[in-house]
Amino acid sequence: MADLIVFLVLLASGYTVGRIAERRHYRSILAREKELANVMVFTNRFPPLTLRAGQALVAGSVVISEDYFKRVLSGLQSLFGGRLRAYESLLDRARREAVLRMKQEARGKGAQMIVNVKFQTFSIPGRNPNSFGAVEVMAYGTALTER
Amino acid sequence: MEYHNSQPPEGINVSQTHPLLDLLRLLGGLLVIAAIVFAALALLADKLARYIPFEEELAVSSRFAADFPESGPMNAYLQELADRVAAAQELPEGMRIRTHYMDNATVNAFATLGGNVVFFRGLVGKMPSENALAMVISHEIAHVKLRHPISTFGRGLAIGIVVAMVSAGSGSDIVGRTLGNAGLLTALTFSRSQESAADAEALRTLARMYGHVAGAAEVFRLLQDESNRGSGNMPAILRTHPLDQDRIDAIARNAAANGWPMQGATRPLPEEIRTLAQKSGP
Repeated sequence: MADLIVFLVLLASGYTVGRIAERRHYRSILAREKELANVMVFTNRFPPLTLRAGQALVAGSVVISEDYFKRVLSGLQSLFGGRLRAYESLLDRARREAVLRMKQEARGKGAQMIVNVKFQTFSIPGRNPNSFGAVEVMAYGTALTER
Repeated sequence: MEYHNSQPPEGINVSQTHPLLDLLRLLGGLLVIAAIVFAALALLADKLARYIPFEEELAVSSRFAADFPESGPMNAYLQELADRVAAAQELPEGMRIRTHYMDNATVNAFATLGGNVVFFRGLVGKMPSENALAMVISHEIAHVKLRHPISTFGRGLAIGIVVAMVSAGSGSDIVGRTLGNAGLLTALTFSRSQESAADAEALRTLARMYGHVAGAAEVFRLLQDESNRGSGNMPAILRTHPLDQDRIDAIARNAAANGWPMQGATRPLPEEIRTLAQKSGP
């Protein structure tokens, strides 16, 4: 019985705190995306050939962890198979945040363009072998600075 | 070429369904599936376990044979009486009943796998006559004859295996408990219909042995007195074999329908058995 109560408390707190944190993060992401809109990212490997610019490696990375509610929900979803909807928002936030941080670093170097942007994802195992605990997303590219 | 960054629309890479709804739907589905599986297993295990040959039961029960106490004069008497009852009960080929006597004040008796039936001193001490003791013996032998121990055991095992597929920890707990010596040796609780079936079988045997069923009437009157005395110190036999009005009525109806008199001359227990059984202590 005590186990059940602990589980429900963890579930409820994971849900409420997790939802609040997610909403706040999305608000921050949307605001910063507007702000950093003029640092442009390209997946082309090479910059426009006529451009003369210095280059610098920029990278942005973020580590986001799942909460207890997401873990339980995705555990149930993985029993039946199909989309793990619980993790979709987690990875969306992580990707966008990584790009924003990379753009931030590029702007700090005075760049307005980042080419050859790539993503890398790492999973950090959680306590339970079935869950992934935390995910790190890194976005990196070549920022084109003033010569 | 002119580039500009436009804000993409939201919600492309995320799902719009509310997570709580998701959770409720999944939990509901899981519960429904679990209920269906458990119900199906309980039904099937019950019916299929009966087909396990009795020899297999003996193989399993030989594992805990060492846990039974040594046989003494009391057990010799019980075994002799049980053999007489078994003869009247017409057991199938290859089924042998082995009695065991626990020198303990618990008022209980039970049947377990392999034809082993166990009687406690507390119960034997309360028996007013040989007929009453024969009734209890015959009831437990009836459980063995009707293969109730193996089907209850099989059902518990099947449920444990299914639970193990979802949660290894709890599943192996259940399976371990069922298969462990503790599980095999404790009183398996039988369902109400199993108890009535055993009652009917025992009644028939009693009538065949003595020509009347006064022993049954005595036993049930005794159990009724015990239960009326209050649940403060309810004997174990009432906890494992719940006594209710339905059960008593069924006995009376059965006896009347078959023309077995509820009264008759009863044979007393041998003197030395009564002394052994009525000694006090734990």
